[in-house]
Amino acid sequence: MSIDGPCDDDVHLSNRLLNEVKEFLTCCICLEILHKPVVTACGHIFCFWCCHQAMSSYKPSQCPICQRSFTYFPRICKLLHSVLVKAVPEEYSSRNHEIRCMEEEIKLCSPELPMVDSVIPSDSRTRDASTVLDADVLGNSDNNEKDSNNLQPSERDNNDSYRDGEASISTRQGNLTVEDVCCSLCNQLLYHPVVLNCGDVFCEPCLKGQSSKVSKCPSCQAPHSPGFVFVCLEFDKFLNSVFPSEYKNRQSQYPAASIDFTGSPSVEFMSEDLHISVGCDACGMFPMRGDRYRCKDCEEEVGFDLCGSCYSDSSSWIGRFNQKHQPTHRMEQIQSPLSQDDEISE
Amino acid sequence: MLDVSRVQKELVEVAGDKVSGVSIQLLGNSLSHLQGTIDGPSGTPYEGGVFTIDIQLPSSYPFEPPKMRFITKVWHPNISSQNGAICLDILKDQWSPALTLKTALLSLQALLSTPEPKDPQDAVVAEQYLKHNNTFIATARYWTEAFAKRSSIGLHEKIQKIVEMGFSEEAARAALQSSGGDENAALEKLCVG
Repeated sequence: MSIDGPCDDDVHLSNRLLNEVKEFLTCCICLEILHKPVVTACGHIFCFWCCHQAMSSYKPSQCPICQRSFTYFPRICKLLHSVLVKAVPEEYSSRNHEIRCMEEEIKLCSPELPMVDSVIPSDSRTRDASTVLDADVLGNSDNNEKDSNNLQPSERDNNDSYRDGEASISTRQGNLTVEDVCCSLCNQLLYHPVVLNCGDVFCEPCLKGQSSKVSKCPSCQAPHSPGFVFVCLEFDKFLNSVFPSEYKNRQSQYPAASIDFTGSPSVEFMSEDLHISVGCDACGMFPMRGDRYRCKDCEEEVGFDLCGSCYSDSSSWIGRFNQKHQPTHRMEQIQSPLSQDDEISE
Repeated sequence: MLDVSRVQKELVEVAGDKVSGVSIQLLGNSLSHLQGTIDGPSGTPYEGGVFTIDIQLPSSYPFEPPKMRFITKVWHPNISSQNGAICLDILKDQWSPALTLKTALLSLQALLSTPEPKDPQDAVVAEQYLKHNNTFIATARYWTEAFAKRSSIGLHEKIQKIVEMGFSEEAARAALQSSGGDENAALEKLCVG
């Protein structure tokens, strides 16, 4: 990763550009700025809650935009989240506030993500989750340093004030740099970005160069269960308009690269052993089919469930709804009500 | 709970669009009951007509489709000539939360241009469309003239008024039609005629 000047490369978003950018960062369901964005395998971006609500609880869901079937609820794309935090700080934090109020009403939580980049929250309650997420967003801790090197001198002096949160968010507006939107495989500006089910983003040529079939994430090793992935066009357009010269440079590296939409999603959907309204907290399969294991110790109303294959894979996962699940919790197998001819509980 | 903010955004967007020939009005204070209008597409028997559509938004909108029904009487295979019920997939199982009231109204406009007689809502109209297409076109055009002209708003009341003055209903309707719905001009015509 090359860093040229400390501030020359910073993109100070002009109003015109900002409006253009907002168009790419708007959710087509709520028509607001995206909040905790998730990207489906077909490459379309929605808010966490919009996508969740748009999914069917008993059959394969259809993408609201392209109508392709999908049966996995993707994880939040942390890179896009941090892009939003930097590109539209005021709107994003007011969206976050609105959603918080809504979540209190419905008594469900979306995963906690840092609202100010590379800030260690003073609240110890949120520290654990945020440190993990921070590390994920930035790849490794030495990126953290690079990030602060990128700050303008005056900002670096004031770095402490970021820790206070809200008040200083606006000073970071327009501080989006190429480093924020790099592919972790090639360390260059993302080109034709694809977002996997785990929320990690790669250039399409980098990812497809590894193997023709995408079955797991090269960085976090999480299974990419949909099996196919399409370029996220809105994000690609965003990169093109915010970093035009870098984008052109990347484009010239792949003269023959055309966006491939020919892969066909194979959605296997068995209706026996269906668990209506229940999803796997690890891989995101929703609704869950086959074996289901439910945590006996998680206190959250939404519960914590794993599908058969995620249960046998012992990696520890953070729940989809911010559950405080621990690997030491006890799990029990739950039979599908449909396979038992019992009444359906939900 | 209806997504009020989304509906408001949609209304603003439609209000700012003067070229698509669709509009949405509020009925009272509630955002869950609206009224839309679409211009009849040109080159069809509905050309020149303005069609009013009743729109009810379920509380789960936009995750459930809006309920739409023609208030203006319309002669079309996929629209009930009795109650205005509409047979259109995107208002049923093919709805997507990425669609909007505007796109739904535009789809209704498209439906007027391209009837699907094989999936009819009104079997009588569909049969006429398939077997006696010329009669269908004439009837659809007549219904547009009679019910969907801007000037035909309140037509019934105007006819009643003229009838009360001692003219026949047919003559009253004909006079109103030839005078473009102008009540006084129609009366004048009848008196002179």
